[in-house]
Amino acid sequence: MNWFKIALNDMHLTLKAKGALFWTFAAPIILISFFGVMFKAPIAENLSVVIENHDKNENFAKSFAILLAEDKINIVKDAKKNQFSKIVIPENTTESIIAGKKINVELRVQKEEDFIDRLILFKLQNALMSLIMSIEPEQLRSKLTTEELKKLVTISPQIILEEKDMSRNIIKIPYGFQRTVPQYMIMFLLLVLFTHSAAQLVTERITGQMRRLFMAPVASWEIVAGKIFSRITWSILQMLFIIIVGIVLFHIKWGNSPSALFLILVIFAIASSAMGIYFSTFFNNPSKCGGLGSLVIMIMCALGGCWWPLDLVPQYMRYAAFIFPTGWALDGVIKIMSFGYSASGIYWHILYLLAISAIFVPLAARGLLKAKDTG
Amino acid sequence: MENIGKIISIYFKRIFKNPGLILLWLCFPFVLVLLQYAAFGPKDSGTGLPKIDLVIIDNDKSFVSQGLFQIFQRDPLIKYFKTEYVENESKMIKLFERNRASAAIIIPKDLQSDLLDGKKIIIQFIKNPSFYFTPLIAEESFKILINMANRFLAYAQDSLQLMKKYRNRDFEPTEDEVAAISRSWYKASHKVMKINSLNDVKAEMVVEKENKIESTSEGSSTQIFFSTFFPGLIFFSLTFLAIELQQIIFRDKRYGIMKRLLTTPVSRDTVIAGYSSFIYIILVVYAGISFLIGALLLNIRSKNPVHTIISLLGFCLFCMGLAKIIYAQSKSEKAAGSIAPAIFMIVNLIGGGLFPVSFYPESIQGIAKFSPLGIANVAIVDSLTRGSSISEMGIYLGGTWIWGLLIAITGYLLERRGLKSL
Repeated sequence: MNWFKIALNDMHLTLKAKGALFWTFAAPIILISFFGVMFKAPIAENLSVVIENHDKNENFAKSFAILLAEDKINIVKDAKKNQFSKIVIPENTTESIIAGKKINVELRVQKEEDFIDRLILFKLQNALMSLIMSIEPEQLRSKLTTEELKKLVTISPQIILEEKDMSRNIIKIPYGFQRTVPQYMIMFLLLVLFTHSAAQLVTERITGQMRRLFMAPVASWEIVAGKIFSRITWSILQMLFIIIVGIVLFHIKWGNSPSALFLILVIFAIASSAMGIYFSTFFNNPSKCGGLGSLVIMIMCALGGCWWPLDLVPQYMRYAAFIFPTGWALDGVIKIMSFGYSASGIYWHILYLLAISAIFVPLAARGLLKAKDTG
Repeated sequence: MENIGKIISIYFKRIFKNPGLILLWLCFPFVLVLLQYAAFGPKDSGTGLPKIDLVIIDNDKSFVSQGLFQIFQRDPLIKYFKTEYVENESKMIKLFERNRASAAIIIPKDLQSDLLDGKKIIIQFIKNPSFYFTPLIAEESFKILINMANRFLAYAQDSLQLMKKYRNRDFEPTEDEVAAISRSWYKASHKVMKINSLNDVKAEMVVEKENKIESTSEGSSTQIFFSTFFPGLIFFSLTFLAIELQQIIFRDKRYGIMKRLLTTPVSRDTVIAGYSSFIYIILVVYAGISFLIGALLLNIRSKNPVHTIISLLGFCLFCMGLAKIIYAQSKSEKAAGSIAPAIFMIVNLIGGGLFPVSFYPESIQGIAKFSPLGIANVAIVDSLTRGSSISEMGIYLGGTWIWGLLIAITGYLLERRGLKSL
């Protein structure tokens, strides 16, 4: 059981390191809170706008309001300044339409890149199309009541678009905290292993601690096993912490299959720990190891989908996500969370991560054994 | 002054012996900005989103169902959508699982006959559960298409009724009856053709800030993309580089080099000024080289170079000062090594080191814009993208320097006190 003692000692040393504690437990929660709030799910229901009519004739604006209300947009009459996005109907709209002149109905927004405003723009274009199709230009001039306008511009649809849930149990759409928690769980697990943990191994090697350890009456494999096991255990602890915080603080739904979640995360922890150890064997300077480790992690996490939702990126970036274990692990977790899958639904993910573990555990072991002679 | 110069040159000689770390930090902003560009750079669709992959399950396989979706193969929808026909829902799920489709549309059997019979038709729309944005966009676009179809059907009701009536008879329609159908179709198509007027009546999004219209949001050029994202990443790297440099000084204190230096007839202030100048010069040179490479590789051009330089110099001062404060207050290298990245990470998060402040929600933007990194970021991004006048940007440039001076002076005072106790 010497390997277990070595692992415990390693964990004890990590517990003493404030930096490791910060990056393992505090930093993920800070980032999750920040980006969870920043990328909170825009609520596509209860959309509200203000209509500012500069046209003398009210029929255009009224018809617009009717059509937008039909599309479940709330038309706000008494809004505070800049509280909602504003639809501005320009002067002489009616006359311009009759004369066949160009007009621009503006959606004035407070901030670019707002997704909700893009949705409102779609609805605005839809309403504009309905209005143009259903009303004769001259009718815009005539005196019509709201009821008459409603009769003119609305139709009873023959084709209905109905949203259907997938047959399997969809748990929750991965957005806001539901996405940031698994994303940062995976990112920080790697970050600790490739920076702090890897730098610690470099320090142990260059200061001769590792060589002294190999001189102790302990089998080499026990030292290697202890080092790898301590890192895997630390990673599992970190993930359990984030999973629990996710449930308690951010109300994350982790899916229907805790066993599948545990399985994929443990295999990911094994693969990442081995990769982290192997990575450390290339360095003789802990700062450089930590610095390059951060860069490697950032690339792996950004491409793996830990930084942004994959539906926002081009197809080739979605393929690139699956080059790295980060992409497989995150996608596996999301499949469990969103598709409600069990382990059988993510067997490719598990196989890939097992293959990575099978490659890197021997490499890591070999790298650690080298320290016997060089460290 | 001569002594300051000597101290600076000693540190420079040391850093040039082992420049790996600085070169590594030089890679950071370029690698990250290229990744962000690959993810969020200008897209062909012009919506800011990549083409949306739409799956179609056509259970009808009729002339109408195929015709309805021909529209996705034509302009303008072909710019936004990539459609793929699959046979059944299990193939659709496979595409969802592989992240190769955002949403699916299921066309019911008997679509064509139900259309002619005037029966209600339900088209099912299914979102990929692991996506959020693109399914919503697909849904809204499809709603427009369905609305158009519904309006056409409503206007063509007369002709459809006539066709239904004549179809169920044993004999062919008369010439008058055919003419009646044609007249009715003409009227319906005339109403539908009015959508051509949409070329004249347009809806567009404009950004309104303090009652001033700024620009449309239709896409962003590559240059604007880099000019918006790159400065934050340079700031991000500068903060972490400042820690690495301050760590060298901390080690000198720990290993007694500083103590020996203070036994020479050189004042404490000279020593602090010497190594602080070294850190500051490295930070400024690093920022300068980064922007130079940015100009060459990413085509970033400053529209107001004076503002760019002022904000960079001010922010470097802040980085140097903050690293000094952290190390002056830390008892060991380990303690400093753990607290410094944490503080700098928070500074970066709040100020938009990784993502531009303009991406943040309105409520956070208020704080972010006036945080040390945020205020410098606003000033430098403006100098690269708009080149506003000093009257418009004075508050941000001044703010950058106020933060810089305040933190640098505090750092200096704390460090001076620390050297006294050596």
